Amino acid sequence: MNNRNSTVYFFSFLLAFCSLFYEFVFAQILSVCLGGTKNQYLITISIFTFSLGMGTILFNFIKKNHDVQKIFFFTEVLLSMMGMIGPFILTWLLKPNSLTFVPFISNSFLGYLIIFFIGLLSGMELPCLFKILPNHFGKILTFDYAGMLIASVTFPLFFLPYFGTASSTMIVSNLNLLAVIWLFPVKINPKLSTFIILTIASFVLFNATTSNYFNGLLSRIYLGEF
Amino acid sequence: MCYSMVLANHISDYTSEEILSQCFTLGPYLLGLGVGSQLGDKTEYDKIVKTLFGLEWLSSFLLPFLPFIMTIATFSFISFLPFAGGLQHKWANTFLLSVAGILSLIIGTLGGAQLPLIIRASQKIIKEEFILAVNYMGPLFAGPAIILSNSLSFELSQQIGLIVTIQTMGLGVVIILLKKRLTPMILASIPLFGIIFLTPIYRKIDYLTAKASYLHAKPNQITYHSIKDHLNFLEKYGKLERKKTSYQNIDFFIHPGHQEIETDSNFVFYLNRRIQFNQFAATPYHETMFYTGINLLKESPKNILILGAGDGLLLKEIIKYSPQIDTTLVELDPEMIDWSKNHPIISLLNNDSLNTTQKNIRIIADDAIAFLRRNTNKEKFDLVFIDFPFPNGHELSKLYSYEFYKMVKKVIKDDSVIVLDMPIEQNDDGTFSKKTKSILETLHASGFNNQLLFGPLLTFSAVSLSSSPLKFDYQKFPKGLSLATKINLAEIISQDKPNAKIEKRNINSMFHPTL
Repeated sequence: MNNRNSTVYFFSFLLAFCSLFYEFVFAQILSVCLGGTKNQYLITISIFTFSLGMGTILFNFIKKNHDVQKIFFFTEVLLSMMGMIGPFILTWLLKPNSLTFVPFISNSFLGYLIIFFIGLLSGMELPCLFKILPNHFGKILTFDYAGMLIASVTFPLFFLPYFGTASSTMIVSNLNLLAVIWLFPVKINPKLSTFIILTIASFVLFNATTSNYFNGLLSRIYLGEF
Repeated sequence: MCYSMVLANHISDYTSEEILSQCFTLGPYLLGLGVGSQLGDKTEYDKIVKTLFGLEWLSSFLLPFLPFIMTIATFSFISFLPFAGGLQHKWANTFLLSVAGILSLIIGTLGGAQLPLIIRASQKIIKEEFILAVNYMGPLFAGPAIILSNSLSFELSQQIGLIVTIQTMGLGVVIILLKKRLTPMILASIPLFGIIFLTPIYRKIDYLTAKASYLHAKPNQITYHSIKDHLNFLEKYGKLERKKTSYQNIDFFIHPGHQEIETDSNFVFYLNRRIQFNQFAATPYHETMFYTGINLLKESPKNILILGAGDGLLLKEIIKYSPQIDTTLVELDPEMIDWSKNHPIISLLNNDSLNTTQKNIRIIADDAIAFLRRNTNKEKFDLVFIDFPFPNGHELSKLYSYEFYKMVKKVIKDDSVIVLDMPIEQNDDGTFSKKTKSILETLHASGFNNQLLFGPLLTFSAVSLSSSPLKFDYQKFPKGLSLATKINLAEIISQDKPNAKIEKRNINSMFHPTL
């Protein structure tokens, strides 16, 4: 197996892990804010798998006018950002007495839209990897699914009990971001950009592993104290 | 994907761990898709259509049996494996989740093998991205379909029957399009007849599994006759009434009396396979809860809030004490309220309290958390009773969380008293267990520093925002309380250091569960 293949397989694994992880985090927040753990997980899984398909279709349109590597880079950066701030936005939308932001559309529906959007971005990952390494469809899919398996096992057994919802998503989204930065060095003013991103990422990662700040913040938003 | 979701649903009933059940079926299912897709890649081009048809038929034949296999595995764990305590044994969940994982892997493998075949068969006509996209649309309907069937209280066999019907119809359409002969049509309909035949057998297996889990019964030996005797015993012993609502499983087990040792019959009431109370504990439990709350309040309460207690027994005590007190009962499950109203034994025990027409008593079918969120800083209650099942699983641990207690704080006054049913477990050295400590520290962190633990037989905690220490005035308890209630009024003392520093990681939060 050469280096290029290994890198693509590794990213297939890692990005699938991160994508499904984000969905579990959002399912967890929905179960807290709206109630019904079983139902919220079922709805989240359904929307996620559907939006993966929609992401694949969207990629088909976008790839005509843009470079595949650029699409991949910006998708991953956006996904990491959503993983980081999405839980807080979702909890804030669903806090008590929250204003309706879009007329005639409930905030719960907006919450499901966030989940759809994350799935949409995740759905664009696989076709990018297929383009980068063609004719390895089966193997890339296998690593992709293996990443999802590890996410489904580690989320309830390790991340949720040890780090909680918010800290876990901070850790994983930062790992997601760091992996992408490592793969795609920023071409415009690379040193400064990389330094800033790495500093922020290190700061957040440090906080996520040493304190309960982010979980506490989520709690305050949920209680309407923020 | 429907089969995987049904399986997740099914095992969460046994394990009470909704998140673990969802994750441990989804992960292996997705891995199975990956394994299957590798197998699909290896099929020779001229055999693709035949293999696809065979796989679909195999999955419609085999997959409906998997949840039944899960039930049989559960029965085997309880009856044949050398673990005492049935589903309460510490390895029970590990075993069940492992079996569910393997079954999900099989479901995923059969499904995953089909996708590459479909793509390869139609590559020249349709783009692979489009096929992938359409394939992913299926799960969008799977989740809502399962949720809808749960809300209609479908049994497992009914859910499986629905999926098999849809699958058989789909297979039928493919057969017609491919202009196949009658034989494949007959083969395709076998699974449907199989389910119809299996349904009564499955109900019996499920019934016997439930009884075995409650009795912790095992056969003497693993021989044919011994197992047959064991099954006969389970079938004949006592009477188990089962009701599945969209929120929980209600089981009411009537144990027969024994003339030889002169014992009367006894009933036990379970929710989601966890014991709530039995015939002997019903009175002391509810008397303790109610009269301790009244005793700790300095004045008679003007209004009372009950969260949970949909059986109506606590409401009975309130009405018996003073029917004029404004009382609000919030119970999640409306079917629980209906069942308690109409059940011959429970309605006798609760003195038909749930059928009251008094205007000062409100019975609301709602989620406690949603009720508290809506009523923040509106109505304030003098006395609050929190009567939930113990925190077995994530869904229930939310009701013992920091955020929940903070919301309760917003519907009480400074001198109000809250009495809550909670697990108080002590280690051999007299210190509290991790679970008990977590709940107490969570209460403390939410502002309830004033705590009184009591109930050597049936454990409770009373908390208040006021600074005056909570102490029983034993002279003021009514004389007519049962002996078991009087014994249960004793305070529980711990060997833990008083005023020890609270560990933040012990605080149970909805976003960081520790229970």
